[in-house]
Amino acid sequence: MAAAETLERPVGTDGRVPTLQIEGLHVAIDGHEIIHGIDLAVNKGEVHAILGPNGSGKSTLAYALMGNPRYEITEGTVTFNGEDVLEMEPDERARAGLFLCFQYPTSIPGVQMGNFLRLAVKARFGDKAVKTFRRELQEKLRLLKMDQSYMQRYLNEGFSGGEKKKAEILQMAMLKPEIAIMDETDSGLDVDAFKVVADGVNAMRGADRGFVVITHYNRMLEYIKPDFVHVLIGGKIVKEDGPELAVQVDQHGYGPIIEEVRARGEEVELPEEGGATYAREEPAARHHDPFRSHGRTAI
Amino acid sequence: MTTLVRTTELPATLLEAGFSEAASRALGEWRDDPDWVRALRAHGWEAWEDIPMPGKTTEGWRRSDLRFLALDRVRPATALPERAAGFDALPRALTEQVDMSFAAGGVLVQRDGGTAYGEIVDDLREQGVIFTDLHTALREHRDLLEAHFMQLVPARWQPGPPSNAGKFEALNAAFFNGGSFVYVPPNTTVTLPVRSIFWASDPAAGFFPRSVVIVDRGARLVYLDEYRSVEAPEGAPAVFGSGVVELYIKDGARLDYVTTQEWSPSTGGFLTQRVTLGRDAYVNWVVVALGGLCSRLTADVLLQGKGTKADLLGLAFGERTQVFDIHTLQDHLSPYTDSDQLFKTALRDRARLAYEGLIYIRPGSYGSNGYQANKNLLLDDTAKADSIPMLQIHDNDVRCTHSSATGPVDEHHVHYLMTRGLPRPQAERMVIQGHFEPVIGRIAVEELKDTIRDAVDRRIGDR
Amino acid sequence: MATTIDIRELPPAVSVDPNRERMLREAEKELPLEYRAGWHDELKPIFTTGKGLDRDIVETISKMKGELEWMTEIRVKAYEHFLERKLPAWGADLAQINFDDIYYYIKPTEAQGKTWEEVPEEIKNTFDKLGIPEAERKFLAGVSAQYESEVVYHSIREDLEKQGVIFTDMDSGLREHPEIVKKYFGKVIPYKDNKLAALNTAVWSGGSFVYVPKGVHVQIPLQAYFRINAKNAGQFERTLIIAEEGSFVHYIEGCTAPIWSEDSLHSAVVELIAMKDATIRYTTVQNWSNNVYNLVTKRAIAYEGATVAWIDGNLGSKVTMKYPSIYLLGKGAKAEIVSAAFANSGQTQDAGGKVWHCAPETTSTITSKSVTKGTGRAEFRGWIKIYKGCRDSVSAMRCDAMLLDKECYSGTTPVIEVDEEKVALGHEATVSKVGEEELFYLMSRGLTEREAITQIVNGFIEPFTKELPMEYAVELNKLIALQMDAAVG
Repeated sequence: MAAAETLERPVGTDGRVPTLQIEGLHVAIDGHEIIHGIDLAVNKGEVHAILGPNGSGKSTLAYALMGNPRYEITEGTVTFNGEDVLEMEPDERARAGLFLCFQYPTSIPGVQMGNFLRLAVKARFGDKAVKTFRRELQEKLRLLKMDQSYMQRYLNEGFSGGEKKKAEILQMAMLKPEIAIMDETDSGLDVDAFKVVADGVNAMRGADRGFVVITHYNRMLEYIKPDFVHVLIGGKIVKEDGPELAVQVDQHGYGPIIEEVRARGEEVELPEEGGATYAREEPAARHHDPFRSHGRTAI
Repeated sequence: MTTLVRTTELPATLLEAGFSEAASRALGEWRDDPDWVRALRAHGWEAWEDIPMPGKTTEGWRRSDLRFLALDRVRPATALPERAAGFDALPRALTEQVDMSFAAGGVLVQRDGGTAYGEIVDDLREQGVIFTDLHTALREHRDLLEAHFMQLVPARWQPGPPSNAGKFEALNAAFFNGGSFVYVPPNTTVTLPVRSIFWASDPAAGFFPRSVVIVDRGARLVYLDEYRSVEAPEGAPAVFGSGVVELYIKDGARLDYVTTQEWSPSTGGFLTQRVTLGRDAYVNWVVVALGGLCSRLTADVLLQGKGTKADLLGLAFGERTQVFDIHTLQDHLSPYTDSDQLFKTALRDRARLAYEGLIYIRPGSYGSNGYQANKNLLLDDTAKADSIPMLQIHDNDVRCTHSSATGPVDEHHVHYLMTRGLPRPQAERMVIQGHFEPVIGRIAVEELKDTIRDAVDRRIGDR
Repeated sequence: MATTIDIRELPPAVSVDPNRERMLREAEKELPLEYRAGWHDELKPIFTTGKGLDRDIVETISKMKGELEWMTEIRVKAYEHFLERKLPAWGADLAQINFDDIYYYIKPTEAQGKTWEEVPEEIKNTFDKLGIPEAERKFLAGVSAQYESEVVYHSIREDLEKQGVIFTDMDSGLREHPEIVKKYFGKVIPYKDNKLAALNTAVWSGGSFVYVPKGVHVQIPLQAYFRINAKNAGQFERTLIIAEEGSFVHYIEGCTAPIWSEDSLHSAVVELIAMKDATIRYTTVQNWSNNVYNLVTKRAIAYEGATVAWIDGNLGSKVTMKYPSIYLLGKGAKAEIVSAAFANSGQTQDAGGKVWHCAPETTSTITSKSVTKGTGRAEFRGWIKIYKGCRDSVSAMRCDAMLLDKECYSGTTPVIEVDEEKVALGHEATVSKVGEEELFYLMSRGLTEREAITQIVNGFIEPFTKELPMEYAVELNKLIALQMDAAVG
């Protein structure tokens, strides 16, 4: 795959508009700008990796694309199949075929996984999809080595880190998005869970689906081979190339890239040690959730 | 079924509006109460006269709204109904409100205090299970009832802390009319639900059912208690009544109990239910409160025996100007007793909730655990919720927690569902349904779960 | 979108010194472990109105103080209301208080000491016994030590005066700044509020008057020590703190009292007014002797963007009833109430807090920790009210109780009233005993059972102690250790 060539195209290689096209995107949280102008074009069939140190704005990009109300788009455009995504509510984006695999999936007490999935599939594909729902669900559960009992459990509630990620992949498999954004899907997974998740993603790769894989290290990319790699630092994409860029980052870290950018005379806004927390959604467990199932937290 | 249908004319005093000693006495004669029961009724009247009418400054009543009361415009009773040939022969106004889709061990439908329909599965009768109307039971089962009738909720109610005036329990003691009696003999298992349905069909008459349920040693019962009422005519006072249920779960027995209060929107009433548990007994109790204009529900669990366990769950959905006044008590009287209470509500329009729950640990109830939670969703900014979860602890070797939370539908939850393609109204609806699911999921009868889900769903309305 | 908030994640209004832990340990080594209350000196009162109360006595008190007519009028009206008003029907048993058997006014010395040298020797002795180290005295910004019913010693550091900060006793405040006092006195807590507020208004004497001008940050906590030292002496101090726009002040009162066999009454009224963007922290460590009825009314008003924090520790007294409250009247105002109570045998700590949210985007937290021992009784009463229209308000109430012995009693009554949809409000409470595993773990490391329990109890009330200035935190931990030594109930 000729990476550099593809990257330069403003539109798809065959002259069509890319499935997901981001132009000059600026994103702010609580009036604080995190992303300072990003351009990115993702077509079906492509896997794009976004690499960057903690706090570089990777998750912010993911949430902004999915329409989290906390994230304010201050400038720029995002289109999905030519339609203005920024005008869409999150559910409209989902039904249009955009999917976000959350880094910290929200737990929702009382909502059964099975019922929820059926509704979501129905919302995306209409009534007729419900007929094949059960069969398809069984198949995906097997693929992800998930037990049938998941379907009776409440959505993400009391799930371990690995179970939550599997549940995200399951939802992706059932909703068959055109573009899937995977936000740090590898974080918090042990080796076995990680392999199951990666296999699940690979099984879904194909000409009819594009991926944006967000990660801060290379492990994920050894399993899910990207076609393009973008390095995001300080809210800007500072370098883009083919898969070899990921290897380079893995071996040498971000230092050489930062040097390179500075040599070009550009400013790089570096996150503080340990990663900036402002761009990150807090893990669900740390929220004071007034409706968590009534606990027995004595002593 | 040996229910005796009283065909005697309603005495003249009971046709007049207002409550009096003479009316109380006349009611006892008309219902053919045995003498020992008439004495209890007389105590009821005395207590009613003695106990002051609760007001805005009475402890435990500050948040109640009794403006619907028009006691001098309510008749104490009305004529008894004809027996219907079967459930389907009952008036549609009732049958269409009741889910009869699942198998039952027994069904008793009382209209205005009289049995309109009642059946019990023969198997159960042969096993010695008694299921009949209260008045028949008082005459025929004195041996069982003398030690239980008006013992747990007596005329002069001493509910323990916090002091409750007991005013409307006294009114019930003076004017009880109808109710069920269930007895399950030792080591007998009744898993087909036994159902009592109380329908107030005369809006001008008060309804005062009083039931007694005894689950004897090592026995098991699934029991459903359902309350319905008609609408009051335009301009008339609210349909009014006060019901009482006394439930005894003996050593090692288990009761799965569901109370559904679906009074009409123009009904104001009181419902007081107390469960007492013998050694190692267990109750799983779900209270569903959906109806009424103003309703006060008292659900008490007395953990009397060592090693008992009680799960008390409740849900209420308020709309329009509905007022729910909910009081719960988990009274730990013995060591190693566990109670777990969860009350969930959602309120829309101008609905109001006052929740008051108490975990009371008596001295010497060591090794006990008490949990209590109240979670309220406010769906409109005109709705209002007051929550008072109380702990009173007299032993240190215990573990108790309570929590209370009130707020709108969680936006994080709604957003997550929307990212999966659900439109906002559907996402919100799902979160609200999810809010109630931990309670509905505990209803002992599978088929009833969906009925309750639908009832809740109708109330969520268009989001 | 409504925000949710975890009470445990809220930072304290004043940041905690990172060296604090170490300093705490060192300070604990240095200070002698001795019980600081329990002495009383033979002091002859110069003037007293005698036991009991009538209208003449109320007028005499006012006359003795040379007050203006308006204050005399308020006193008389309050006295009349006191006669009419009943004691609260709820809460602790107050039936044993004999209002006719109390001295309402005692004047111990003629003049106020202007410098330390002028302070009478007996009183200095008392301070010595209270264990206030010399160094600490110098450290204090201004010592306003109430002895009997008059403030006897008072000094204001020069820089405070330069900044225009007024820190004086209430009587002087009334004399020297009548226009300010008249404007605010009784406005937060009117005498009709309750029977004891009426009594205080009628017979008040002493207390502090603090006025912080616009934009002034008072760097060092203002401190006052109160002490009862006369047979059946009533203490009816009255405190008024006004923090003008954008100012900051931290006021600390510590109370210790000698032990007397007859019942004693302490009934103070404290009014705080935090103007726009001002911050008032009010810290109390109460250690009255175990015969005192401590019935105090404390209330604050917080305007737009203002913050009020009540840090309230109750260790002593026979009966305490005290529910510091905060009215959040302006947008974005914040309330914080952190309290701890220790009830040993014979004691009732009936305490809590109240917050009224009357404006949008207001925040409140109430945190309460109670420890009961022997036959001690601890009752928590919390009340949070969110009025309609207070959108995006957040409130979290948490109360935890630890019961050390079988005969203890712990009660929790939180009232939560929400009239507004767009708010997040949560309450949590736990009751527990000392965890056996924790106890075992500490004992397996060589601690005695008593030491281990003390450690666990200190850890349990740490959310309170961390809010205290270091010297108070040290004192508190010691007092708890002493409580542990007291006979097991």
